[in-house]
This record gives sequence, structure tokens and C-alpha cells, in this order.
Amino acid sequence: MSARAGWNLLESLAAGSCSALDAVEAASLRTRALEPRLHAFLSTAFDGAEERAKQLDARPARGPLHGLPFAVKANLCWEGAETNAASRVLAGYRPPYSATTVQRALDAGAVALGVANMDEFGFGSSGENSAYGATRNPWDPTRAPGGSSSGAAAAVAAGSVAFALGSDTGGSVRQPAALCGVSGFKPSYGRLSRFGLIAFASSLDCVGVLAPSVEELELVMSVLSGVDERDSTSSTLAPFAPERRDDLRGVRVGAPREHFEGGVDPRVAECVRAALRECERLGASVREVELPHTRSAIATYYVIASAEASSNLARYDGVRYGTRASGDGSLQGMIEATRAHGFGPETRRRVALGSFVLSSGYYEAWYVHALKVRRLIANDFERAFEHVDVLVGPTSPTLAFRLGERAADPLAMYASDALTVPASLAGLPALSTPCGLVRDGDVDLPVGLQWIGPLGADERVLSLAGAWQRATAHHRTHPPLADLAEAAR
Amino acid sequence: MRSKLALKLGAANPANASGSRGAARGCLGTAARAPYPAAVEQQNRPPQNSATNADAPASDSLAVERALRLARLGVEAAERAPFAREFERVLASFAELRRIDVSGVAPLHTPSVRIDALREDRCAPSLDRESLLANAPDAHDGFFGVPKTLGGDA
Repeated sequence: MSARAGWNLLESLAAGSCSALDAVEAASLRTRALEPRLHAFLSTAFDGAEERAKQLDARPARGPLHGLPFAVKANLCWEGAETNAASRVLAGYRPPYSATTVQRALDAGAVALGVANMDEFGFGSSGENSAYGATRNPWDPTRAPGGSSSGAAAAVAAGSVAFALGSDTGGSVRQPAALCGVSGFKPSYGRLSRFGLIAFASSLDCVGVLAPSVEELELVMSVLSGVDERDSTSSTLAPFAPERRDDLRGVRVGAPREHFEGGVDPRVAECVRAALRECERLGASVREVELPHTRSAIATYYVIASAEASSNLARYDGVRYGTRASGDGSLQGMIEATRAHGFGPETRRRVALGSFVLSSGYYEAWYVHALKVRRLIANDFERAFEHVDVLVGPTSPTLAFRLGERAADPLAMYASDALTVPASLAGLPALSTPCGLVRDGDVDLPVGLQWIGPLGADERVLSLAGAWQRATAHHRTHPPLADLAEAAR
Repeated sequence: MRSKLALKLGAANPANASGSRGAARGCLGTAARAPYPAAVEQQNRPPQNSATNADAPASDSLAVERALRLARLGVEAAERAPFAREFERVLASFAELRRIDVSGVAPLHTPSVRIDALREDRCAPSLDRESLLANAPDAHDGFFGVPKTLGGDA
């Protein structure tokens, strides 16, 4: 069974030691065993997946993702599957088309196993803002898996799937990847098509990928990337071409001073410093750099992201899709009741906040001002990249926190994103890889290492992190909960 | 100022209490069936002193009321005071932004390297009407259905 966990499937399929059907059956079995503990999925499609795997096995030609079972975050349209963004307002919505990224994965032979849980519309850093119940962290089910790609990260960490498609607006792929001990990549803004991604903040949203290792990330990125005429922001960069390296000789690594200060848990900081020493051992030179506007990034991000969210979520009015509350029977009453009833507390807060900062009299003072600070944050990165090739620091300031610990305090929750939002604001490619475990009470919890590159240098980020990962092998440690799947056989 | 705000919002708009939105609130009143636990439900909770910040321009009830109206959010009367308190607390924490000198700095709207993408305008297949209407809460005769807006009772 362990030979058929998600982290072994790529190798087994490539070696021909298992068929697509074997891989999908193993994924279904494991998911059935673990779901009662994790709640990583909002819906599953085991029968359809097995049928699809049989068809793929019968074909003479194999796609690059042949037989790899994957999870689809609930905000990526998957034709015919309920795609509700974990919101009550979109309950029952079954899109008549698939997102470009989902379709490209399917066309390459990957098999979609289910719809992954998330924070409603991507608003959250713990998974607790799902209208359908929180996902639990495979390392300790009393803890949050991070968010908003909570189910995607948990499903990969538990070995249920070989990869997952998520989205990252301010850290929603990287932070849960860090808290669950998996690899998660947010490409440069525009590098992957967003057609079919349920919009949150249009100048920040990116489709991202989570997987057991950088190897799967590179393979999936090479399949998903490329211009899509249905998304005008999809970039015209050259096709994604992974670069294989085995060391970090000659690489200039920058460690942002501000990413080790403030609310960063000293145990996390020490684990990351050890990873930087490993970079040096592999031939890199490491120097400290400054990103002075880091401390303003959370406020900047939440002003801009909320403003864009308030516009994007205006479409949920009970007319075209999802649920409707009748209210007092008038059109206006219906719209207000639908939104009040259909949106969770955090969604309501962000939509109101966004409407406020965009409103007449406050627009310049809040929204435009935040856009100017955003420029200063991007300038900080540009200056740093004059001297270094890649920035390396912690992904999350803390280890996985307990479910409920931050749920009642939005500001405490927002602080979870302190180290991921800067790269999002600047549109930079960024990756989280596991870099070790820290003992916390009676459990071991993973720490995430964040790699940030210049705009468009997606291949560089993946190849440097890949070389480091193969040499250090922290990604080969898996949560003890995954043993439950073995026991359930 | 904060106390006054909380009190004002706690009383909410009297027109809403018994006026045309009564039914809407009745619908919201079924919150026991909703999957979200109500964050705060005490209607008569005393106003709290949270950190005030002179830089935060939202320190009047009209700002929060206006935000709710613009957002088309029918927040129940009982939820308005706690909503406003939390809203203000979040905004106050962001007020440090406004102390950053941005003179001469151009706003960064998007990190996209391609902001003027144009393509040839041409006809292409689209989704059929039936599949688009299949997700609508109310559809008939090939159209989306909404409550009556003109002429007679709703």
C-alpha cells in the first residue's frame, strides 16, 4: 500500500509497475479510509475516476500525467462537478465547462478524484471558513491545515493524490503547503490561465499546484502553462521549460531580514537557518537582504484584495447561479437576503471592507494609497534581485495552529499571511518546500521554506528548490496519520 | 466616538426594523439552520473601547452603513453593532499604511507584463442557453427569473 501512496505514484507509473487503474484505485482506497478524519474533499468521484483510468490504460498513447490522480480545489470549475468555492451562496453550482488548467491536466492523462475543501472563496488561512466544515491537518487532526487551499494540501500530505490544483491570491497554496509539509508553487502572475477560476482578487489571483515534491510540480507546470486566449492576462512568456540542476554552485541566495523578525516563531526561524546552511553546503552563497516595506504588506494586501473581492463578488445576487433567499419579495430584498444568508462572516467582512475603501471620499486615501505602497513593496524586491538570484526564508511565521485558535480574531488570522503576501503583491513566482520538523508538545509539525524569484523566473525557482530538495530529502517524511490508510486495508 | 458608533449601529435603522425589510430579516432569522455559527449575537452588548485611530476615516456610523449598503449586504440589526466594531478594528489596524510617504510613487494596479492584450474580434462558439440557465435558481421561457420590479405587488 505505501508503494501506492500519492508520493510514489509518479515513479510507479513511469516505471510501468502500476497502471492508471491501479493508481486510481489506490488513491480511492486511501481517500475513503482517511476522509472521516480529514474532510479534505467536498465531493469525490471514485467510480468516474476508475472508469476514466480504464479508458486511459486502453489507449496506445500515454499523456505526460498518465494515471496521476489529482484533487481540484473547489474554486476551479470542473465540468459537471459541484464547484461551490466552499460557499453556501454557490451551493449546487455545476459549471457547464472546465477551467483551462483542469482541462489541460485531464487532457494530459491525469484523473480528477474529487473536489477539495477550502476557505470560502479563498478568504482564510486555516480552512475554517469553509461553509461545509473545516479540513484537519494530517500531522495532527486538532490543528488547521492552513488555507485557503486546505483540502488540497491535506489530500497531498495524506498521500491521497499525486498532486492538487489550488489557487494562491496571498499565500493560499504556499501557506497550507508549509503547514502540511508538502511542496506548493505559486507561479508568476499570468503564467497560468485563470479561465474557470472563481475570481477573488483579479490583480493577485494565480492558479497554483501542490504536490509531494518539486518533481511533480515541474511536470504539472509544463502541462498547464501556455497562453490561453480566454484569459488576457495569461502571459506570452516562452513555454515552461524545467531546468535540471544537482547543486547550487554559484547561486546567490538572499535571506530577507524582515522574514525572520516580528511574529516569527524562533523554532521556525532556526529550522530555516539550518536550510540556508544546507544551501551553502550545496555551493550557494547566502547573504542577508532587506525588504523594508514587508511590515506594511498585510495591510496593503487586505485593502487591495478586499476591494477587488467586493467587485468580483457583486455577481452573487441569486439570479444566475447558486442559491436564492427571497427576502421581502422585492428584487432588492432578494439580493440582500441572498448575500447575507449565502456569505459567511469573513466574506461579509471583506466585501464590506472592499466596498468601503472603493467608495467615494475614501478611494484615494485607502485604495489608491495601498496601490502606491504596493509599488514600494515591488521595488524592494527589484532592488534585492539586483544582488541575488533567489530569496529564501520561512513560508509561515508559525507552525500549524490549533483549529479554533484564530478563528474569532481576523487580525490574528491575517498575520498568518505576513510572509506570503509580499510576493503576491509583486506578482512573483514563489514556492514552499518542507524543510524539517519541529516538536510541539507531543507532535512533530512541518516547517515550510519559501523560495521567491524575479517575475517570470518560475523555472529558476523550481530548479533551485528541486536541487535543494533532492539533496536534503525533507519531503520524504510523511505524517503518521497516513498509516491509518494502511491499517484500514 | 467609538462608543457612540456602537450604540448607533446597535439601534440600527428603525425603518429596517419594521419596514419593507422585515421579511428579509425573517429569512435571515433562520440562522439556526445556517452552517455558520453567528460570530457575535448579543444584541445589547455594551460598547467596547477598541483602539481608536485618528487616521482611520471610518469612525462614523455612516461609513459602515454606507459600506453595507454599497455591498448589498442585509446584515441583521442584532449583528450590526458587532459587525461595525470588528470592521472598525480591522480598518484601524490598517491605518498605519496611511503614514507611509508615497509622494511621487505611481500606483501599481497589476504586476502583469501584458496589460494591453488585444486579439482579433471574431465569432466563436459559446455555451448554449440551456446549460447556462441550468444553474439559475429561477428560469423560465429561456430567461432568468427575478422578482417583479414594476407594476403592482411584488
